[in-house]
Parts: sequence; structure tokens; C-alpha cells
Amino acid sequence: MRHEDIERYGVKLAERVASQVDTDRRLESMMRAHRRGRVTLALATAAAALAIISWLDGLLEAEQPPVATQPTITAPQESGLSPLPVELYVVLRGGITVGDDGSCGGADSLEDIEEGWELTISEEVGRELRELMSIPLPAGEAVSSDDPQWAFIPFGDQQQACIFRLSDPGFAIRDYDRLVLDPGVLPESGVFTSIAGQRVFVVLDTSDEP
Amino acid sequence: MPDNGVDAEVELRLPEPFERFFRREYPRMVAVAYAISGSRWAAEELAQEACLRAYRQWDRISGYDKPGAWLRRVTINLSNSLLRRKVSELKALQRSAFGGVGVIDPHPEDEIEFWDQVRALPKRQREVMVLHFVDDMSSGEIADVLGISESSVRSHLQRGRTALTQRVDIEDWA
Repeated sequence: MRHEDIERYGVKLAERVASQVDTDRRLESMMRAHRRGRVTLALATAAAALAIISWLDGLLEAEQPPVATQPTITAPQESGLSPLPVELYVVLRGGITVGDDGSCGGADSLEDIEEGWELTISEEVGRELRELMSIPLPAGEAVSSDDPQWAFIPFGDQQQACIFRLSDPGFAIRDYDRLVLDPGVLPESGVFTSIAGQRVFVVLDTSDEP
Repeated sequence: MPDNGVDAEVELRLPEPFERFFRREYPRMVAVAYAISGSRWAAEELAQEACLRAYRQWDRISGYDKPGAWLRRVTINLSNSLLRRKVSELKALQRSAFGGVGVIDPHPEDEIEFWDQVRALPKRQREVMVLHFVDDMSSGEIADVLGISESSVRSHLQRGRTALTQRVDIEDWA
């Protein structure tokens, strides 16, 4: 086919759709959805984050037997920092397409991700994480598969969530209270944290909106 | 007598009423959603959901330089998400709001192969091609929507065009 044919296909589709959609009816329908949907949306977001954390932790437990000999996490010492063998999981809810809070660029498919990926944590999310843990998270800068500390975990359904792991036994937790997941105090920033064993999950709910 | 130039400038800074924004943008978002997701059942729902999100935050979004760019980004992300979902979810969607009947006519036979090939392009190429050829956007406008450079847009366009001309075996335009 010729280049100009591509343009004609696009124009034809746009014209066909414009002639068939009922904008007035949709505007009314949208207003009704708006009146119905406010509470549901907020609940769905929190529920989805909780479901992902539970799902991911279950999968990890199934794939890696629990390390029963490791000590349970206790309150930090007077220094405020308590080095523990912690693994940090960054979960991008919604898969590989994310918005401003984190981006997974240069990947058009799962195969591409496994070959190489790039993850950027925003300043806002990085600041929140730094308040919680002594993680040297390069906020605002990209980390990638070239960095051996970071690993992409290719299990589960990558269409639901894209998961990256940063592990370093030297991490320290600053604020235990905030790390324990409590649905009543979930931050509004879209960052959800949970601690299960020595794993910390951060769910970035940035899948659809820029 | 008021200075028309000043009045015009002041008027330009006023947020656009949402209803006017919706009427202009909604049909275009349906076309974009249809081209990317390939679902005539879902295209209107995706466009409505994107518009609904804009409406809920209209106080903020209407203050943006380009609220339409925000809307396109959300529409594209929602459409890409749908494209990735499982066939079973699509079937459920078909049964739910539409009783199995698409609102928009399906692609005519001669266009099916073309749009299948567009959806088979790498994600960024697909997005750029749809915004350019369906939504009639310039390279600069697309760069704003996708948050990439204009030269990247041109590069994706060129590669997408080349791929389609090679892959789509259609001799005569219907």
C-alpha cells in the first residue's frame, strides 16, 4: 500500500465514528456515572492495591519457602535505623504503561522488558520512600536492568502488574508504624506500603492517568 | 470602549466549560480508542471513562495549557490496557453494557487487515500513528501528548509508515 492510503484509512475511521456517536446521550450518561461513581473509585483503588500485595506475597511464599529462622522485625534501636535483610518490591499496578509517578520506558512487550528495562521513580515517591527507609532510591533518575541490584520479576500476570525488586541486606527501616499497612491510613499519593516478613511492597497506582 | 485585544487575552485565559470541551473531544477520543483497542464495543466506554476522569478533576485540568493532551494520554492508556486484557474480559464487556451489539459499525472488510496491522505495531509507533492519522495531530502536538521529543515522534511515524506499507497488502483503495 502507499503512504497516502494510510492517511485515508485514518480519516475514514474518524469520519465514520463522528457520524455515529451520540454525544448528547453520552454526556448525560457520563453525568449519571459521575453521580454514582465517586465512592466506588476510591474504594476500588485501595482494594486493588491490597489485592496485589496479598497476591504478590502469596506468590512469593509459594515460590520461596518462608525463612523461618530469620528474626521477626522488631522496633528500631535508639539510633532510629535498624539494618535488616529487607527486599523492596516496586509494583506498577496496571502493567508496563505507567504515568508520571514512574515510567517503564523502551519496552513494547514483555519480551522487551526481559531483555532490558528502565524504571524511574518520581521525586515525590522517592521522598516518601526515603522517609520510610534508608533506601538509596535514585528518585528522578532512571534505574535499569544494567544495575545488578534491580531485578524484574517475570511471574504472575504482567498485564496486571509489573514488578521490580531491589534487594540489599543493608537497608534500614526508619518508620515502622508507617510501614505497617493499615487501610485506615493509606496515603493519598498512590503509594501503598506493606511489610510481610522482610519484604516491603510499594504499589504505584499510576497505570492510566498521566 | 474596551480594548478588544486585552479582552481577547483575558477571555483566552478563562477555563473552557467542560461541556464544550466534551462535545469537541469526545468523538475524537472514541475514534482513537477504537483504533488502538480494536473493540467497537468498548471504544465509547473508554472515551467516556477518560472524559469522566477529566470532569472529576476539571477545576485542575481546565487550567492546564493543553487539557486535550491530558485527555488523549488517559484515553490511550485505557485503550492500551484493554488491548492487553484477556479475550474473556472483552467478551464479558461485550455482553454487559451493549447487549453484544457495538455502537459503532465494525470496520469494513477491506479495513480489518489494516487496523490489525496498526495494532500489531510496537506500542509507541501505534500511538503515534493513531494520533497522527486518526486524530489529525501534528508532530509537536503528539510530542506534548506522549511526553516525548518531536524528533522521536517523526521517527516513530516514519517507521510505522514503512512497516504498514510493507505489511499491508492492499493494492487498491476501496
